[in-house]
Amino acid sequence: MKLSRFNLWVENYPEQEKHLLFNTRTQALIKVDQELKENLEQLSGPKFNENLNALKENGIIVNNEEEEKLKLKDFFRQLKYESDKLTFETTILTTFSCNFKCSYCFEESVREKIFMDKDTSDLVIQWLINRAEKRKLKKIYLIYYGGEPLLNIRPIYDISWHMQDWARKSGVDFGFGIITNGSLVYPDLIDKFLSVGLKEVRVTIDGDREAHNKNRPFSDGQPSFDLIINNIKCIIDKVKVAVAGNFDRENFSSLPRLLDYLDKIGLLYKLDYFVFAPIVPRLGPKENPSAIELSHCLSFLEKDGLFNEVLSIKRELLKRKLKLRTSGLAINACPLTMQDAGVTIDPKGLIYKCNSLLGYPEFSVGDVHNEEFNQRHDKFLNIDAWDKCPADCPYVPMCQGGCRLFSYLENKNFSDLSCKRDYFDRITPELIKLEYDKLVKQA
Amino acid sequence: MEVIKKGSDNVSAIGPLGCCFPPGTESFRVR
Repeated sequence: MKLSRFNLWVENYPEQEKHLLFNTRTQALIKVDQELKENLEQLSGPKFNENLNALKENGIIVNNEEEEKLKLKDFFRQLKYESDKLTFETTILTTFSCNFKCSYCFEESVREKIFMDKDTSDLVIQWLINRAEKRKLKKIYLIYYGGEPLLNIRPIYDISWHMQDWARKSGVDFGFGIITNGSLVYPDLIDKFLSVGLKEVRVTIDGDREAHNKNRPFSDGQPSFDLIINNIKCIIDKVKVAVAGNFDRENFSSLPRLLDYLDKIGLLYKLDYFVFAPIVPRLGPKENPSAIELSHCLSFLEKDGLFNEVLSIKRELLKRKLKLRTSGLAINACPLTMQDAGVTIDPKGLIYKCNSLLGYPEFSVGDVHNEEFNQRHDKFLNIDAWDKCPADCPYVPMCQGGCRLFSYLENKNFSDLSCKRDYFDRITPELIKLEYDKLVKQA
Repeated sequence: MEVIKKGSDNVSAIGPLGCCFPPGTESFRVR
């Protein structure tokens, strides 16, 4: 018997002589006292024997190194080939066009006035149904996105109507959400979408009035904050509304002020959840995608990056008793390397497996005219970057060898490691504490 | 010993799973 190499300790938390033990492969989180900790270090003792079965069940103890290697291999096999057991999440871009001009838009170099037409949306419906029947999928969730998806509402209604009808007849769970800038939502539209399966509207707000208007103005430079807030007020009693926000060093301090403002106007506790994330770099212009843009945003991985900000905004949400969707302690499941992970379909019907690759047809994995994926799909699927990870790294199950987009940005290919171990070393203990606090407080 | 979150060898029983880079954040597909 041995301790799993994927165990991580957080000592003296939540109190002295109590310790958290987290396993990155099984995602088990346990709290142990000092005596059991000492027993575990010795692999013997009364408390060790008393808890041995539970320790094995949770992957804290394994029989030997060989068993652990096989379990890791099986973990990645399941992640790659058994994702059909998960919800098949498909993002559909009804248009690349947008009525905003966000300072960091990752579609900046591909933004065009292209709208999904009726022929393409009919093909999307057929492609989704074929895929679902072939792979015997049980849960389908669509996310409409853009550009600004509400600049082209017909495909949203058409695709959802047909998918809901088919799903009811086929015994499949179906629903959809919309990610919008919030400028074009209104109650009648929400009623119409609720009748065809709408579950959630996610609106992007990047801080208080001043910060948001600077980051996310209308195309003509006009401010958008007040209109968005008013629109949310009009629909909040009809549908779940979540708020997502993007931040860098400049606008971060405005996020708590946004929460204060939402509280003051009575919206804060009516919203479903909040997701705040750092702005990330993007591919270069169409003719040169490997030329990184917004490369300064890679700084969140540096020593003095946005590490503290990522944690502190989550703490702020917990402190205010707001719903934290996740602590951030998650398994990176890259859709590029998963057989039945969700896909993203652009307005022309091209299919992608990563939103950050949108608009670069050379990285698409197929299109809705063809039931089968192209060769690029298999090339992505066959990437096993984790296989190149150092044997002593405890983060391999959570990290998979890193983000494939980052590998492209850093190495000019999708298959090499994009190792962020130093960053994991710094952030993971804090995420474990946050996960503990979230689970205990929300229990 | 207190199990705060039960672990499993079965990937479909654990989570969240999703595109979560930068680490500690969550992106589009988080279950």
